[in-house]
Amino acid sequence: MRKMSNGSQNQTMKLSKNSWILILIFIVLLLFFSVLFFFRSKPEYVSKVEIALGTTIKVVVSSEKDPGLIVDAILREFHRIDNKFSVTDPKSVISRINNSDNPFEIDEETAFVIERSLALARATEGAFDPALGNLITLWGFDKINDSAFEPYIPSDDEIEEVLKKCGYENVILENDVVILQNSVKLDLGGIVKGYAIDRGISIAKEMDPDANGYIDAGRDIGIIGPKFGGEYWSIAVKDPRGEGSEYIDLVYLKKGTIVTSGDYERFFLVDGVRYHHILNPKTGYPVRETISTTIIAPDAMDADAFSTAAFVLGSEFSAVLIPVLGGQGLFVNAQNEQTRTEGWAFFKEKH
Amino acid sequence: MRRLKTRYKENQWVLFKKRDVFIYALLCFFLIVAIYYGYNSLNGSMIEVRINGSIHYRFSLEEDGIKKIETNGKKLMELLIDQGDAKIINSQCPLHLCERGSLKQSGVLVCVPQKVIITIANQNDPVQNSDGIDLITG
Amino acid sequence: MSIGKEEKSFLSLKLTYLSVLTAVAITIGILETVIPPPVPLGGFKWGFSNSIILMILIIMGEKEGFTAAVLKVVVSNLLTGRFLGPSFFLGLGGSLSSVYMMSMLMKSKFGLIAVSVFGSFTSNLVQILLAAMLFIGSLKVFYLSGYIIGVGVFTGFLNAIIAYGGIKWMKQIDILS
Repeated sequence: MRKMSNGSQNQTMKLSKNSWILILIFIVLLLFFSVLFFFRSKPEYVSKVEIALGTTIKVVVSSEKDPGLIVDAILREFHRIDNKFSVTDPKSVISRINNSDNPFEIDEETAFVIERSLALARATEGAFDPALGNLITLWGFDKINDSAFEPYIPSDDEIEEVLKKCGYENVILENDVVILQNSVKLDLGGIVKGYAIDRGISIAKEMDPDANGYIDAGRDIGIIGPKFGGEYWSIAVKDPRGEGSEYIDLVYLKKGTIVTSGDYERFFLVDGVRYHHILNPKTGYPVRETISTTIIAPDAMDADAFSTAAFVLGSEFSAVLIPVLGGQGLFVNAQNEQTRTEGWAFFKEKH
Repeated sequence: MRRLKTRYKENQWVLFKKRDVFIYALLCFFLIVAIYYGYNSLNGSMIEVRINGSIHYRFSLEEDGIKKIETNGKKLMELLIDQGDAKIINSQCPLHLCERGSLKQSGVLVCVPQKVIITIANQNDPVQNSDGIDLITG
Repeated sequence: MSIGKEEKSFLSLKLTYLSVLTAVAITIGILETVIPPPVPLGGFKWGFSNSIILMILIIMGEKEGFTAAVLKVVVSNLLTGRFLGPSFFLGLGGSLSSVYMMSMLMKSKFGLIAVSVFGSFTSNLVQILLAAMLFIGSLKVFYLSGYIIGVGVFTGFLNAIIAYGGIKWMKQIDILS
């Protein structure tokens, strides 16, 4: 009997404790679902797409601080750089340098970009050349994104003449002054996108060092930070002769940049022949031996210049040169054969 | 024959009791929140067409047909909406690069010379946690 | 703590019941794997074996309920070769939390349907949580949660009916009182 009453007493006490625990659990669940409710209106990543530098710029950012602000700041920077370094806008700094008498006084940023371009030109022995403005204008590739573009094939003589007015050796940079000899004209198209990506990334990091995401500028990619804070971004390399969703490789990056140059990006067809925008600085004609190059490097500016240089130099030589310069690459030649630098395999694994 | 005595008395294990309403109400709340959350996380069904940065057109992905996209009386292109997907056709740009692919395939359709960007509105999460591909270079 | 003769035979009766019912629960647990899971997550199970667990809870109480739940998950996963696989961890988390909730609700004198439905809800919720944290690595799966809750309500309802009917039947054939 005594056992029984003790038992029932225990039972009553347990019930109250029970109910409290139950209520606690219900409250926790309620809170959990309320939080879920709030999460539906705040996506983890903010993404925006705008047109700049003659291509589509997609910026994707996740951040504890306002990601929208970071995305907008990056896009503003892209537009600013577009206006400043554009070759077609007569108000841009580059146009004014090209059209004025020497010497031309420039600001720090322009000096930096020109200096890096020259250094990269020297390192690649001219395969990347920031002073091909006249050649590019002759072919019309500077206007290829305008509605007024018309395909034009220059004659051998025209090219020979124009080549005399090209070449990075004619660009002299002294203190804050740039001198263009032999009427060469600057065209920084092969490096400006990379520069903008680097600027975008550092702006993001300035606003929030823990921000993550990426900048996709016409399929040249700069990583702001790892996916979800710690994961790899899976990046597929498009098959240069594929039909849109075919890939020739898949790499994993948590940081750094990856840039591709292809003969299918800016080109026009005449009589079935493809004339594309990556010109051999020595011959003046579009490079025929390569159809695509992809470079992984810590800076997009380097990667951009390397991918142009590798395109001109060809797979064999680039496989040796690019790692020396600090990048890794995947090159596809005209016979659709792929060559990878030795260190490229590192990026195919998640470590 | 020995029978096992149940722990809970007869009247305690009935199917329904008055206080059950609390549980049902709680579950209803959870269900509503969960469905709302799920609905919002999937792709929206509105197409947004931006010309030079500002939104000019909104179409529904459910309305099949050909939509004209023009500005200032000048026709720029047409948008073909079919079976929940959309493509650009008959564009006035010189290289017709924008006519490749479809909206669902690439997520965005862009015509650079005419400064047109076409996206799916309410695409809440541009980053999927799948084992698939996040980005394409090339 | 000496156990008297009365209690000894009572205990062995309990043991018999527990063993048989647990075996049934395990069998149902294994059979469940055959039907396609309601959710495209790895290791997710319907949860009809919880009807038996509920019965054990009603007949014998909390401790036995937990024992049966643990045994069910361990043995059914061992037998189907999924031991230490995803369905093991999800099943463990789901079953244990479900038994806990159901015993709490029973002690607080809720009706069987509510107990069972909330038990299934808890089981499914814990399973998605574990799946999200351990295997998928993202909480984004919660956009499936509405659907999962619905499934839980459905299974819970059926489980209550099975448990109720089962006990009524056992009383009828006079093996229970």
